[in-house]
Amino acid sequence: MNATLRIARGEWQHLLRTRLAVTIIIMLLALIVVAAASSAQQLLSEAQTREAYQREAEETFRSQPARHPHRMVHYGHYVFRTPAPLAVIDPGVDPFTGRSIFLEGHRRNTATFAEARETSVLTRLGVVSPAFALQVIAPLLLILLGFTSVVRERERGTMMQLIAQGVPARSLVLGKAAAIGSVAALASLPLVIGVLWLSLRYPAEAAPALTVFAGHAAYLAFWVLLITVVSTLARNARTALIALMIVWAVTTILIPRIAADVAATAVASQTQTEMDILVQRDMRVVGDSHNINDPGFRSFQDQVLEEYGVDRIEDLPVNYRGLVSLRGEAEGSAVMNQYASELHATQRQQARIINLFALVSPYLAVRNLSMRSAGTDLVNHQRFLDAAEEQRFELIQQINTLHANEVHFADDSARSVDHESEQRTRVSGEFWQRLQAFNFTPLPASERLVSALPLVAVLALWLLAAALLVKRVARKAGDV
Amino acid sequence: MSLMQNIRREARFVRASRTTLAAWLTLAGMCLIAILLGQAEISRQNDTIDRTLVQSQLELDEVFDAATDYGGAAYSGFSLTYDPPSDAAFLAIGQRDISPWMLRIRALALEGQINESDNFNPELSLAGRFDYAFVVAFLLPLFIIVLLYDVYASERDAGRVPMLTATAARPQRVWFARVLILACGAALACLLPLWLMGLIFSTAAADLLSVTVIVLASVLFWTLLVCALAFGRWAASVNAAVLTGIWLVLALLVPLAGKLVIDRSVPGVDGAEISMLQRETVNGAWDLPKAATMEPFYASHPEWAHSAPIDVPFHWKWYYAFQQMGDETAEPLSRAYREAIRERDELTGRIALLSPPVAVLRAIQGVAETDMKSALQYDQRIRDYHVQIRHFFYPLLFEEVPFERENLNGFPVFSAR
Repeated sequence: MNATLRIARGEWQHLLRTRLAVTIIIMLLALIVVAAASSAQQLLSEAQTREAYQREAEETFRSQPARHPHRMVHYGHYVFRTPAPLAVIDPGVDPFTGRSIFLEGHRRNTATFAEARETSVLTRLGVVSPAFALQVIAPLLLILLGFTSVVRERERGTMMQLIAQGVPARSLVLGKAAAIGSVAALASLPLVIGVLWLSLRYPAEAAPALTVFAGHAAYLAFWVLLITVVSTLARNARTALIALMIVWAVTTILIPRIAADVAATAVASQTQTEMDILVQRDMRVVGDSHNINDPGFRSFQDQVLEEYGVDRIEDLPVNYRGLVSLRGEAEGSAVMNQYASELHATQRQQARIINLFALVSPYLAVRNLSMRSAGTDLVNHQRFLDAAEEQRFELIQQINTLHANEVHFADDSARSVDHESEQRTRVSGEFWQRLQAFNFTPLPASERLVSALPLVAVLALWLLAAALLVKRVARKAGDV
Repeated sequence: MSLMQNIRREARFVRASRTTLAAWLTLAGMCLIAILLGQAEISRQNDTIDRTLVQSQLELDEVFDAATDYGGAAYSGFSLTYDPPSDAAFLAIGQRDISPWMLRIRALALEGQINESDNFNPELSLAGRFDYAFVVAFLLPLFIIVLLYDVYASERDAGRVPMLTATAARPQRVWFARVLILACGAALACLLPLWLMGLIFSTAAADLLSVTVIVLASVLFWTLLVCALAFGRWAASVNAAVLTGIWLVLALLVPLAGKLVIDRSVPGVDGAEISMLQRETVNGAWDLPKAATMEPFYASHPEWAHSAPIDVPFHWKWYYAFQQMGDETAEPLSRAYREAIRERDELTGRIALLSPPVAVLRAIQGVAETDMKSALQYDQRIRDYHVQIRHFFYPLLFEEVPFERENLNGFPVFSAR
């Protein structure tokens, strides 16, 4: 043990004497601190803006004057997605998803105004966040720090000297790993602080935050071990560096993109436009709920007349137009939800294919583990879309119920041509004050952790493999 | 010994080096795969557009056949706009996996429609695509580093430098020939797949030429950079480490810092404000006297000012007039929103001066017409088409032409380019 610590201390002294190493350590720390600070600042202001817009949208809706209910169905409402608390650490897919949705009758709109569409192409190269810094950049910097660690001793012939002094080969390798590992630990310090702060502020997020931290820690440990292994096995320093660089480039920047292309090619997905056309076609069968004589509602009319025991819709105690609106919205929503859930299933399948690539890229394992735990992945985006749809459907049906109960059929039928009837079809503004606040919460922590579990296992395998390799090469290190 | 002889000798030397050949072949293979994957995506997009054009037209005909008035036809009649990929789009997917390249619009206020997104899977967009532009911008430099970082140090460390230069009248020529061959090999590894596939996909010669120039410029820049270090005193491993560090700074850190700078200096307009303002204007009109809508509308559209006054609670021409006024109210905000995007894109161009990989990426996306500029041009074409749709319906609505299905036959068709 003592020998291991001595080797580690020696490696540290070597790093601090080397200008390149000192530059890299400073660069790494600066990068992580800047990434954490700017990500936190951007996210907090983003959250405030979204909440302010949400409140404004709700107040605007509630303060609408007396109106015909169907006017409010088209007036609609806005919901905004506030970032998940852990997005400070890992924004995940947030920059690529829309941040607001317009809720209105008859339509399930898409989420609009995604950041990546508005900002420059630079967003595509990486997001300034602690997760990106630790997942992509930290390993490369650790490689630059550690590739010479063991092989240097061999090239200079100091290895034999150390072994002759009674330093076990195991201690030599582990000591080097400990030295590089301590730099990695230093680099993840801001993450520790962030996780602690977030856990105190959002106690429910403590477990996912801890998982995110553990994932990054395991990932960095994997790299530290791999660097030591390669440095021990390599014939010379430059071979070690080139080999490590290739592993980094292939697993971190090549495979993720190939995975995306494979997923897109393997599982065909429908564009929104194609889906809209199909929905429109299906809706023609359902019928246009603006037109009570639409053939789509003929059997519904018979059913209603029979239920109330009257012969004509004029004799119904409720406004038949409102009933048709209720019916049309319910059937339409079922059609749209059908397509949406098919699309969501397709996208999840694509995401699962990308998940599989975690078996050949530890980066993908940690990236997906992190965003699934943080609640900033595809699943959470779909959850937002579904929550918005639920709010939309409830709101529209409440208004349609008003339409059926509060507006007289005769007035309603004459409202386009008769001013007085039109005035009577307006229902009091106090109804709009019943609007429910939009409350979107990310997937419960436990479910997020379940979805991250396979990736935890994959990452653990990577770490285990690296540890076994270290054990193997540690035995042989002294043979040369 | 002449330069040609040097080159010939070095060529034999390189043929014997398995690492060099492996590096060239890997790079060529990556370029080929990138091009094939890019082409797969682009032909998928082309097929989708062709298919959707037919479906959309069928749907529009159905709507028009069922219509009983022009207002209703305009209300339900969606028509397709699309941004067909250019011939060279397979080289760079660019914005085409986050910005919609198809959008159906109708005669209602455009600001409520034009910002709709497509349903792209964000986990695919997150990684970005493995396209040719990516290989040339980000991987090619790494290959050049690997090929050249020890071009001098390896001979020096093996003690062969005196032997190599002893017979040469000008020793630089030996190194020049070796660097030239290694760099040209890398360039050809990128260019041969490009020309071959360009020929097969019959890409325009001008586009291929532009991309060739971009590739050569990139090869030249990184070769000079690597050589500046490779012929220094440092050990090969230090050279490699420093060059990797430089790559990291130029390819990842400068873009990240650039993004922070751009976000700070061009805060831009929040898109939500545009659509909320448009909604308030459009819906507010229902609670106002008709004159509050019609007077400003006739003021900006005097050609319809003679239209008969409206004396009923609902009239389609009033309905479309307030849709138009909604767009006009939101126009300054919407313009500022697009202006901010354009400004950010221009700033990105300046950041690219500090980051050759970003410059290469932007340049190839420019040739492929998949950059932000092209996305904005598509946005503008949608706006122009929407004006056409409005102006198709306005005479029918404001002259109160009696409804006839034939009158809908002249409905404008979107022209993509």
